[in-house]
Amino acid sequence: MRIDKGQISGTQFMFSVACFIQASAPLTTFISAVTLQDSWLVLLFGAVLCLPLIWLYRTLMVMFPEQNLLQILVEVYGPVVGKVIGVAYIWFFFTLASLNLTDLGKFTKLTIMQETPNVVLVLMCVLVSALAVRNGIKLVTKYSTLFTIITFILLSIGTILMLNQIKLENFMPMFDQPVGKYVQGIHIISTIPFGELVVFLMIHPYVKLSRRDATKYLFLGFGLGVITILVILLLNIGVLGNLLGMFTLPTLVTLRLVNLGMALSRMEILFAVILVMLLFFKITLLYYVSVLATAQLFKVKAYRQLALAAGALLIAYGLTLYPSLVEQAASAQEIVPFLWTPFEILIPLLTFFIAKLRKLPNAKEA
Amino acid sequence: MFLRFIIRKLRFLSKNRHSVCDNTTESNNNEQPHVSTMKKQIHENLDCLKDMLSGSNDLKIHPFRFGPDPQLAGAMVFIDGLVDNATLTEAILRPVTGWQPDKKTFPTGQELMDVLAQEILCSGDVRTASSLSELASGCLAGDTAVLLDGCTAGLVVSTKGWDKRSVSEPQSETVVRGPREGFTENLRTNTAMIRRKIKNGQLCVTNMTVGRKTQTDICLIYLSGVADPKVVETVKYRIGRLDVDSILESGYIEEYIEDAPFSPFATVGYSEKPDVVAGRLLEGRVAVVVDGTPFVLTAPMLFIESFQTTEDYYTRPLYASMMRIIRFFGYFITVFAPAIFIALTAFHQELIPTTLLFTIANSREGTPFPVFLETFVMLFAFEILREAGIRLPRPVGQAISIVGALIMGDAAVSAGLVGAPVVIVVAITAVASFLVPNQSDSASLLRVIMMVLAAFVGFYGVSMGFLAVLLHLGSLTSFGVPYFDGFAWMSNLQDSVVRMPLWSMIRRPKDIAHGDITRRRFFIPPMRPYTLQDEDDLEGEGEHE
Amino acid sequence: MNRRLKLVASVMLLSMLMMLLSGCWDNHELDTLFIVTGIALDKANDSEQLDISLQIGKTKSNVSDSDKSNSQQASTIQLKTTAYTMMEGLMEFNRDSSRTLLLHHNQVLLLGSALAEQGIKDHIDLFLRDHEARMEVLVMIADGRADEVLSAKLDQEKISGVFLAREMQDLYAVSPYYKIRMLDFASRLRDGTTSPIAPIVALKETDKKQEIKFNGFAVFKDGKMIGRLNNDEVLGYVWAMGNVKQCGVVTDSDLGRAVFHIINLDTERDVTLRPDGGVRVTLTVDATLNIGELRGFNGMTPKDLMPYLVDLAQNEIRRKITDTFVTAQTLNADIYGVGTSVYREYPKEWKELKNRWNELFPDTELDVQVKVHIPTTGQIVKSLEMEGSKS
Repeated sequence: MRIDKGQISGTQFMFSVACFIQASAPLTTFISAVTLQDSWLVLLFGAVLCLPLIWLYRTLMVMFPEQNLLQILVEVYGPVVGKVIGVAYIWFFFTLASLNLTDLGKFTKLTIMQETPNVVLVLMCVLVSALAVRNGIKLVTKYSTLFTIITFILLSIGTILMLNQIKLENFMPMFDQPVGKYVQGIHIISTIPFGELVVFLMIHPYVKLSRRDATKYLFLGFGLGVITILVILLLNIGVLGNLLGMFTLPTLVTLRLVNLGMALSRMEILFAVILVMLLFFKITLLYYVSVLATAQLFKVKAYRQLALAAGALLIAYGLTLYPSLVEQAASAQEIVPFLWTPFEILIPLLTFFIAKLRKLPNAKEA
Repeated sequence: MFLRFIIRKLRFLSKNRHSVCDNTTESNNNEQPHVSTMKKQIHENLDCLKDMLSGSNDLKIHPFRFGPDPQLAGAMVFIDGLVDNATLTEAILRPVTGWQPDKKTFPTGQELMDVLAQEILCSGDVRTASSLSELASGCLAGDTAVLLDGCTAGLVVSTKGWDKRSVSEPQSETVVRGPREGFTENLRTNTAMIRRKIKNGQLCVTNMTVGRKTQTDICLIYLSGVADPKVVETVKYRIGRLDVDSILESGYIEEYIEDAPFSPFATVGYSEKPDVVAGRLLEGRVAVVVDGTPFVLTAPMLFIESFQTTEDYYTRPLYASMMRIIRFFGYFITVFAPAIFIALTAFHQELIPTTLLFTIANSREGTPFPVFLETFVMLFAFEILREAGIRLPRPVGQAISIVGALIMGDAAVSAGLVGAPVVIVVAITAVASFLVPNQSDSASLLRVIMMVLAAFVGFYGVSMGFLAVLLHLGSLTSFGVPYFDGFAWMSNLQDSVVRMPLWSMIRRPKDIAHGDITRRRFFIPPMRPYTLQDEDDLEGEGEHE
Repeated sequence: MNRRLKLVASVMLLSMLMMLLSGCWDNHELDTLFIVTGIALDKANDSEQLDISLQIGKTKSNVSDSDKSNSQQASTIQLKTTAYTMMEGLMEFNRDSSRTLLLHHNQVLLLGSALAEQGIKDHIDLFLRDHEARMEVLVMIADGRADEVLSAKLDQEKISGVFLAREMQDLYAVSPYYKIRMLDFASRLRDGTTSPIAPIVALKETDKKQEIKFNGFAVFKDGKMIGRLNNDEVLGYVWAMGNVKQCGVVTDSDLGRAVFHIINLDTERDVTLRPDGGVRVTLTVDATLNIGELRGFNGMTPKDLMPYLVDLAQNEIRRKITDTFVTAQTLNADIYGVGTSVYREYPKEWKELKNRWNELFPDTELDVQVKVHIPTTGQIVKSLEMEGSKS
């Protein structure tokens, strides 16, 4: 039944979750532009509110330890409806991968490669990703530990260098904005970085986990990811103050301000490293999941052959998705959260209840 | 990126090639003309033997008569130069000619052969051979064939004794602290050196012969009960299915048995020192000793192995750890320094602090070539110098390196052809490449790739290249063992980036060793001065643990 | 199999072609770049236009034989033009010069005082928007023409842009509030109530020597320069903001002259709303001083002297802070960000106060409480003239 024979350990799973969430950290604009100096509070609220959601994912993982999301759907809804929803999920994974790919291209372009065409940047990334995807889940998640730790190290270097520029008064006043903004912020934060964890429902059968470990690793990974975003947000707010909402890439601007003497300056390379590394991981994982899902749905045994074709499709899709950064940012704030909600919250919830009603995992045993 | 793809394709090709070879092997064997059984007449046999060895002039045939009133005829056949003359005389000639049977009647034919082998000859290694080809190959290996008239079998007596190099300090792996002996070109000397390090019955030595023309002897050595039987089987299988005409050096074997022939990274290790090989055997690896070369192969190999030197274990752990970290940095520098320099100066000037930028810009002013070309040419020049330094006689080699490195570098800078920072970067790259000699070939390949990437897409290219290298490393295996896992956090953390004290390395590397996995009994830190009472406490603690 | 090989070959060929063709969009060799180290903006004769002046650090080849002639040449290049917007000027420079401009290493943005008085809000968009623009660029106002200051030939540094950056880095150690980066400037411009400030530098010419002098702060309101603080008032401002590390306090009294050295000075700001609707600011200054130099104080014992000195220092600090605050109130420019403090403390009331801030600020009450500690007296306990020093 399984296409990929690889297996990953619990720690790797944990760091993959962490790394996946961290990948949203360099691009905090989607939230900091909405709720400004309260973003960190919103992040914390969002994280707390997302705990039940993560618990839901975890429950599904434990209920169906041998089946990934598409198989669960078929099991719960029957072959026809299940497959239709499966196709929708493939579209969802694909779109996510493309969006992150364009993000990587566009922000790399913005930060270090102004004149290089987007296609080249994106193509290189997809080619390297394909190398991992073709090798299966083991290689895809192998370096999550490394990436997470490097991110933490670079981030702490950045934070230490910026400490003298953080102004505590920039965090004041709290709760000054209309309530709607907070609701919007929480919605964004829970759908964009956190709810995307739904992709892990596609790979959990590869993880050797017991029920208790699944909970532990999932939440630990989640916690690590949240801490990273929190640190970056605090740094940005503390340094940039009321200009926070003005910049496309606040983190870049923040790290550019590092100046300890004449020698220790110009630290934006840290940002570029984090950005490329983390987004690469996220793209590779999403890419892998979309290829896997497609192969599974159409019963293609050799998903490896699909990898390059899917990569080409990703690039084409990504490049045509949004004509400009402005539209993308606007859509990330207004449209995307609503579009993602069914995939991330409603369908898993519904699946859970139907599975409970039909007592599915038990029926299978009998 | 397509490397793996290509590798797979080529593997497929090679599989086909081998299956083709299998067919030809049989026909080749059939072609051999002289497998014929032995005749009764000694002359016929001798003529036949002479024929089989193409009538070479170094084939000596020494006929002799012996027995009472010398009436029995026989002949010794050997190849001049391969045998030890003293052994020849002492072991065969003297006892045979001096033999006087007590009885009046003495055995003839086959019986005489047995008596000769068991009673007369003074040699520890006498075999009976019933075919001429067996005798011929015995001669070729340095043994002496003894034939008797009227007998359809012959004896092969071990008289090997050719000139060999004595054990000396290896050139490729010099140490400050540690044993100075190195392997020689002689197979038996080498296996004996390993045995002397590990005096244990579990040390298993298996002989194999490879090479249709060269008939090279190969020894497979492993610690049974520690080495993974699967790995041993794989190595045996991969060597066993070889059908090649020649094996001149262990490099031949390496190329035939490695997992990823087109990867820049070697997946089979080698060493010239018995203590290194013994250490690896104790970790559960398999060694392949090849006759005619002092380089012994070890498998499986991990990436981390290139950064571990034996001296790490002979010096104290703190210093050893520091040196190991420096080695990692050295490798990183030698691969990435030129690429990063190119990316910084040609693409991302904003990342250089202002003062430094002016310094670099001043030196770049007026140099005619782009920085990529400059770096590339300088590195190319360095490779030329290095190659020249190796090939030339030693005294001249030094002169060349001085002329090349000092004078040419200085002249290039002062003539304005090359900027001084480029020279510095190239120099540090070159020097750093010697820190990890085992990986210097992969480093020079990757360096060029990274430089090209940097020249086209700057830092983004370098980081993508870095990720690609990481992924490639992650996908490699060596005889079923993940190649890059020495780094990852799963196995053997005590001996990866840092070298923990020996007493904390309780287990052998998890990926490699199999079965008897415990290296040391307990976590026993070195003693410190204590009174007798403390000792009791300590032991109590130990039990508690 | 053959077909597969062909496929592999073509894919490799394509990827190599891609690499080669992709080549070098962003590749700028160092010797094709002009490293801009300073930008000066001045009011042009046509008031709609700008006089733009760029300072470019000149790179010198190390290997040329004519080192002597080189050392007499200027170490900077000055590019000048007149244009409506900054970008137009840059485009013109790029068109007319042999190399591309690299703005990443721009150290300082100098604005001529005439331009500053006319208003600068329209002209700094590029300095925020452009990807080569960095937020750590210093903003300064030139007394007179900015391009003259920028083209000054200095003894201390070859490039005046670098000189200004170093000087500011030096002052930054004294107090972070001296150094006004684009970030701080833009932040205040955007804030609405807080007045942006920027250091003023002036060119002094004395017998063939040119020097750049620090000459107080320019105070902006609504993007226009409306006044200035002199050097004394700047001290008052910096002390009021706190976080001062090394700075002199000069006091004069009937008994003698004492100069103190600030080891650490911290100010806490407390904003309260008065019952009558006004705002009251309480500054609590906590300063640790060293005695730098004493002149006079004849006949005083150390025991008497110390409290006296503490008193002197406290009064001096209070006087300077109050003076500056009064100046700011006269200008009706909230350089301290009092408004922001009110907003952070009373976000609800602020919505209403914000619109009246122009009337409220001049009416704001200031209460300064200074606490001075003098823990040591330097290397000597008593001066030569002091009572008891002979014993």
